[in-house]
Amino acid sequence: MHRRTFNFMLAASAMSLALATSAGAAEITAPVTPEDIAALGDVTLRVWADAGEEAMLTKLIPLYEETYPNVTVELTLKGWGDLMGTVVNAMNSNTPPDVTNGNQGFAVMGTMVRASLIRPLDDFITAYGIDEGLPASGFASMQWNEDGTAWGQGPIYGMGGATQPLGLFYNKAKLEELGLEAPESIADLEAALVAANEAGELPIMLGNAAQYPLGSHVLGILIDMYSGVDEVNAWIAGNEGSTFDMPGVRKALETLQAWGEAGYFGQGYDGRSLDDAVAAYGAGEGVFFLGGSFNGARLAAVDPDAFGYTLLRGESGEYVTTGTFGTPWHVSSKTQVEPAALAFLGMMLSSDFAQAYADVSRLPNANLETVTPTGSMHEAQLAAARALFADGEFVGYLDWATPTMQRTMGTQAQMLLAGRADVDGFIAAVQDDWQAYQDERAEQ
Amino acid sequence: MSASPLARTDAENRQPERAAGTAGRFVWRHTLYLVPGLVIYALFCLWPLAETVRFSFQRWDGITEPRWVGWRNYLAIFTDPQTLTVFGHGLIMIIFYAVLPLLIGLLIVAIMTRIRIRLLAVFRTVLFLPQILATVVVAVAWRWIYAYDGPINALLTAVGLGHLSRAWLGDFDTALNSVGLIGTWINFGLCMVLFIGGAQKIGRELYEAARLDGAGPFQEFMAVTLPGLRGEISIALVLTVTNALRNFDIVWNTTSGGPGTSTLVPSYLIYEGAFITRNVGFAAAASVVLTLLILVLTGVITRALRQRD
Repeated sequence: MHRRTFNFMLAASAMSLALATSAGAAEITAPVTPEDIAALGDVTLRVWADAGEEAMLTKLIPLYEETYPNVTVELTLKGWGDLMGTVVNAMNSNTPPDVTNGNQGFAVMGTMVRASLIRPLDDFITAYGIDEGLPASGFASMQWNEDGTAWGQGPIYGMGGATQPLGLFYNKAKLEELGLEAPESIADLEAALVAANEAGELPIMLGNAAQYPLGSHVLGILIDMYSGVDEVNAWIAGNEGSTFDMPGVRKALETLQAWGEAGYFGQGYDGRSLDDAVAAYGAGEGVFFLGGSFNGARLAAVDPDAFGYTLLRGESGEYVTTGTFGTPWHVSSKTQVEPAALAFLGMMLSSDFAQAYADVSRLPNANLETVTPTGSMHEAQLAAARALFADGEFVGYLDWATPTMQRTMGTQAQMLLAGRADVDGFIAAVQDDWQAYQDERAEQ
Repeated sequence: MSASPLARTDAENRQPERAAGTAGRFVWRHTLYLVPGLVIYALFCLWPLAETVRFSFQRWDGITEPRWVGWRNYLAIFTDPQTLTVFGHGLIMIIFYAVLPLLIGLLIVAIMTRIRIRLLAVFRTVLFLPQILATVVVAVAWRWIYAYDGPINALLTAVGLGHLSRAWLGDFDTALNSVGLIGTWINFGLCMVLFIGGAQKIGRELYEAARLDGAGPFQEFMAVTLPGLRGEISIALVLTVTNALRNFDIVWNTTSGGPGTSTLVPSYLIYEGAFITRNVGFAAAASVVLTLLILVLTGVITRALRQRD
């Protein structure tokens, strides 16, 4: 009986999968019309989102419900870690969210593509003109092969609303005190760090209690400075023959180690949370802060003009940074209210709505050129994003490489700075993790 | 068959004995009373347990078709030095979660059996408080206490030991012990309350006899209090050892396993495998190993401390 029940369950899930696939096969060629949505009757649109989207969604949802009065949006907000731990299982359930935030990489997006839980969005992107004016390379991390085993090419399965490049925040008042200009390149930054340290200032504010962002973002920015975009992206994507043992990576690790030895991160950063670090930086502790542009919203809330933000030119002379079109949004392949889900994303990603993102100091992909900033820091962030979109290059996040890479790099970076690992050990540990996962992928 | 008066008397005389005989006889249909409870237990406890064992032999992302990989997950646990270290951390946690609270609890009881303490109920409540606080609250509070600019370092600096100050949860040398001490703080209240309850059951005359025989506080504790608390110690150890090995929330909310892997514990590994890295098979295998470890340890404890009377 046990086995029979199990078989029955298997058959049932296979059937629902087949139904879902056929339901999701209806491609659109033009934006969904209000009539299409009215035809659904009174329906509920379930939305799961990262807590960082709250400010944007509180503007979007009333607007959406006003435009489509027969749809009620049921919003579930989750902290990032909580969302990452639950979203795949939720999407696999019989009552999945119709629209959800996810994440790039094998563990979340890859699994959802492999299990056909999310709908390809190419038709939607074309119909709504979402890709107009955007660099095509930004889509790479959202594109997957049909088996969900490789990304970089194939259908687009997700799209974000606001780009979030990694960059350098600086405290304007402190730079002025030190008599320094805002750094434009990694060489400028290195000189500024020396000056800040000699003046007795904390050069870089870091909060790494959760083993993040030292091994991911800070190291990521350094790797971007010294490496070729293509070789790093190929490694992240798991291309055969790639290795983490690249000269640029080596140089980045040596730099990070040297910064640690010079005391540029101060004391106790492994015992300080990222939130506390951003708060302390906002309160005037530390000259620089390295991290995602998304930290800027909190700093701008403290004082929209006290801080600056810039991307750095790498050794190649180009702006190279880790970034994407932002945290991806997905549409469930099982949704019963597909037109409503597409209209929701359509409205969120439209040029008309872009200013709502800008009003909370974010960097909308749409209308990036023309939105009005909240202050001078936001203006600098917008300028950086425009430069990146115009002729810069996106590098993927290193932790997309394998499901365990966030842990491996976070651990190794702490060990490197504590003198418990060297550059060779770091590279070997990371490459072992990578290789083990490639072997795993080959078996799938 | 009609019974003679004599026989009836005889039967009445034997009534209690016969009643006992009937109750002792096994009647199959009586087991039906167990069914509702058993069904619930099987559904929510035995079935997931069996499923976990099955998953532990698979490579599974939790969503798509699982693959049978035999003993590979178990092999990974017992051959990966990293994983073994993590289980080692779990064992170290026993010192902080079980042994230290036990000793502190006994010390408090030893004092209380000698000295009459005013406001005992207030003390007991205050000392038990950590046990009932939400662990997230506890973790956040301790994160602040241990922080580089927190009160511990302020105190050290004030007494001229500033060179010892550090981010206690962010230092490779102190993180594991610091996390462990939070567990001690949480658990000693439980031990104390159990032991106080147990000590109150010990007859006053035993203490009087000991004192008449000229026993000092230490001898009295060893001869009267400690043996009298055998049952409570057993319960306290089973609960705290289980807590120690299952420890997840405190680590999650203080260090996330860092710095490096210095505070990674088995439950954290299981959580990561099941939800973050989506290696459900490995997480299941680690769960099975952890469950067996807890069963063996608690089995040894209850056996060693079994009442001999």
